[in-house]
Amino acid sequence: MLRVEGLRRQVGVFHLRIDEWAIEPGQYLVLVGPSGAGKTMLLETIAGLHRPDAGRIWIDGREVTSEPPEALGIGFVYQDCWLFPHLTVRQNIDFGRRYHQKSGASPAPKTDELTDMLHITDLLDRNPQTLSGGERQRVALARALAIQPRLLFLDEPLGTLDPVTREHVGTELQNCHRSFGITTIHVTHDHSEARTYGDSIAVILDGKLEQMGPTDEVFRRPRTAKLGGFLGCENMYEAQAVPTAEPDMIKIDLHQTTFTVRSHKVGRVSLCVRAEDVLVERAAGKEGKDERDDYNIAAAFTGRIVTVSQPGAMVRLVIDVSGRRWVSIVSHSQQRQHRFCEGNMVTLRIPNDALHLISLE
Amino acid sequence: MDDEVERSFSSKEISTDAGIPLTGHSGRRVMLFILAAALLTAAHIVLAMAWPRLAQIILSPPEPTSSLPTPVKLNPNINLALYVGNLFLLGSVLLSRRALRFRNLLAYAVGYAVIVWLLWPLIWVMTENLLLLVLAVLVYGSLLHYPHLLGYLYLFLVCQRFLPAYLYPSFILTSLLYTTILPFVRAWRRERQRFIPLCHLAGLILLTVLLIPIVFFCTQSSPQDIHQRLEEAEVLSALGISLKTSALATLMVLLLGVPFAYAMVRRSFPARGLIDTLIDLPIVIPPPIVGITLLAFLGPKSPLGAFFEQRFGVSFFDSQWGIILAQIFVGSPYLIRASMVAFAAVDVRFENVARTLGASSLSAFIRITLPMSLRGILIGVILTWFRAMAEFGALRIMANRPRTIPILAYERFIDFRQMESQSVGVLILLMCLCVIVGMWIIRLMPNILGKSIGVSDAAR
Repeated sequence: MLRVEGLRRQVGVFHLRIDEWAIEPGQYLVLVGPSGAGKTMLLETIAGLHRPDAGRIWIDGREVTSEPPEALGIGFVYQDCWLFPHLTVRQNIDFGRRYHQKSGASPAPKTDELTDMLHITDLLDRNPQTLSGGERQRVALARALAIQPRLLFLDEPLGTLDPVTREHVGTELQNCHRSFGITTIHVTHDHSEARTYGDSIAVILDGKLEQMGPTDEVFRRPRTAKLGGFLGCENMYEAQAVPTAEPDMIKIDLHQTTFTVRSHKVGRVSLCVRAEDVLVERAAGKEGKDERDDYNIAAAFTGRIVTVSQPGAMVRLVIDVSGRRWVSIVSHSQQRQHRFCEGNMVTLRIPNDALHLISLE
Repeated sequence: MDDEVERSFSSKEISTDAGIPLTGHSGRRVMLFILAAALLTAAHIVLAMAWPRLAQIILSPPEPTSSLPTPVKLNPNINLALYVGNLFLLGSVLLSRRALRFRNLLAYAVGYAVIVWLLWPLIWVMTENLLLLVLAVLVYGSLLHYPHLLGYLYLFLVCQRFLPAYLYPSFILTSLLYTTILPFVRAWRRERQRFIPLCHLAGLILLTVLLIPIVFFCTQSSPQDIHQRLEEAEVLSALGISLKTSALATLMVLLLGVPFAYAMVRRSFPARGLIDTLIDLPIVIPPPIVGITLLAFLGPKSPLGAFFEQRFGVSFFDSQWGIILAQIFVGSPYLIRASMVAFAAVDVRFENVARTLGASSLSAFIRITLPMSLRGILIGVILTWFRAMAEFGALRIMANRPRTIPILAYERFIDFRQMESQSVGVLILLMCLCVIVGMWIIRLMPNILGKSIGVSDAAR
């Protein structure tokens, strides 16, 4: 669908370097990266709004590197919408139609269909300045969809919205993707948003594409420690991995506990576990691991709960394990069942598939 | 709370239905009014009867030899009118629904005394002006509930009393000052803000210095005089030449300068900063030097001028072409600057969106950028147009004929001195004031862009 090779663009001290990037047709890809990582610039460059210093871009197998933006058929929705203030909502949505009447075999979606789908039919004669944030975003989306784009770029589409509107608009984005099947790149700096909406995600840091893959894979198994930090992996510790007698098994010594895991990374490694994957249980009378889960659990530590807080819908536990800080996120029902309080002694258990090792050598 | 609302509602209803509030408290007021009215009637009757003697005592001029007309006869009609006026004022004070506190009453009494004091001496000059006093009393009574409007009345009276020769300019300016300075005075008192009101005051002083002569000058010619000027062939032809040449000059700047401004804003290219500075060059050069320069370059004795003359029969010396050229030279910076500011205010992402929707760069410019920056460009057009029309120095040197309006005014002044040039001057000034009003209206036009920027800022 979209393929980018050796893309380079420099603005001031900032370098955008994308060596190889390809997107399958029909994908909903979330491009995530911190502010200033070059996400918007990358999209604008692909959309033909900037000329790259070097590199080539293909869309549907056709090279479009030096084509003007109007020839590409990319729908672009910015965070601030940029609805044309001197036109009504209907005129905004219909803005691009006159350029796309002849081309395209199947007819573009009608304005009424789009507005029905996005629930903005009663706004058609309004002035864009009178719309709320969510309404503006929907109109901008309808305007981009009206030209029946081959690719849809959404630049922080939910960035300025309040949490409730964010959820509504987010759902509509997914509905649109489902009904039109347009390959979509959704840019955000918020990794939880990326996790919610993306089939697959691509992470960009400092102008470089760090990792791309299925959402869960990228979140659980970041390629570098920096990436893990950005993606909100809260439990990251450096340790020494030593090979064992068995092939593919290594021995790790962490917090005065030694355990073996299946891996071939040896030497200095960063051990990386997402907070929501850490299983917590009250350390009851019996010590040690539960026999049933033995094959599944890589390691277990004992620690004391330092703080219990409730950000959003989850309960966040900060646990002190021999001087190191571990974070676990449990659901409210678990909290109700176990009643974790500050000062409780708990057992932390780390499942095999949640333990990710990043080689630091 | 509910009780209060209901009470205020009912009292309103009573006063509108019956005309006079009938509740107990208001009943006392009616009684008070009747009493005061009776007193007033008595006072006026006594005044009417005792007038000749009173006039001798109070109004006799300090020097009996003065040429002013002595003992004025009190016209019974005027006494009657004054009586009605006083009665009206009394009614407004005592029957108003809003209770007046003693302090307010005192303030109004002082105000009344000031009016009488200000207008009374006019009787020395003209008996008829007593009517002005009656009128003032009537207006005063009806303004009772709008204290801030009273300020304008006082200003008018004070100007009338102390600056009769500069009545209109001084009244217009003082009321302008009064209008704009009032909120600042309040801010000064309430918020202990000192700096911004002082800045405001500085601006007002500057504005006053600029405006007083202009307003004064405009009130010096009668409309008949101006009308007469408009029938003179010489004035009309000069006006026609001025309008035509400056319109053509503006059109040229519009066609070349606006695209240039767009390129300056949207593209970066080598020496952009230098070119940006060069745009202002015509403002820096003194106009006569512009005239000399153009004459040296395109005059009849220069090779290029001679070439144009022989090849196309176009001369730039003392011709409309010369006028247009000089006007383009001096007027272009204003339109280019105004357009640059207007274009820079349109975020490039509006165009980006339009481009991705399929519009070419030209189409995006015409359908998006141009409508959004139209206001700024219009202001630039007006500025350039009238700067071109106002050009004198360069034209005096390179294109004295055909006469434009400024040249005409200058020649009138040289040949016939001030009185003759005055009405032409007023004519031009009035045109310029119309332009200012036009620009004001353009500024009031719904600011499409400003609003959208405000909204997105708030959203951010």
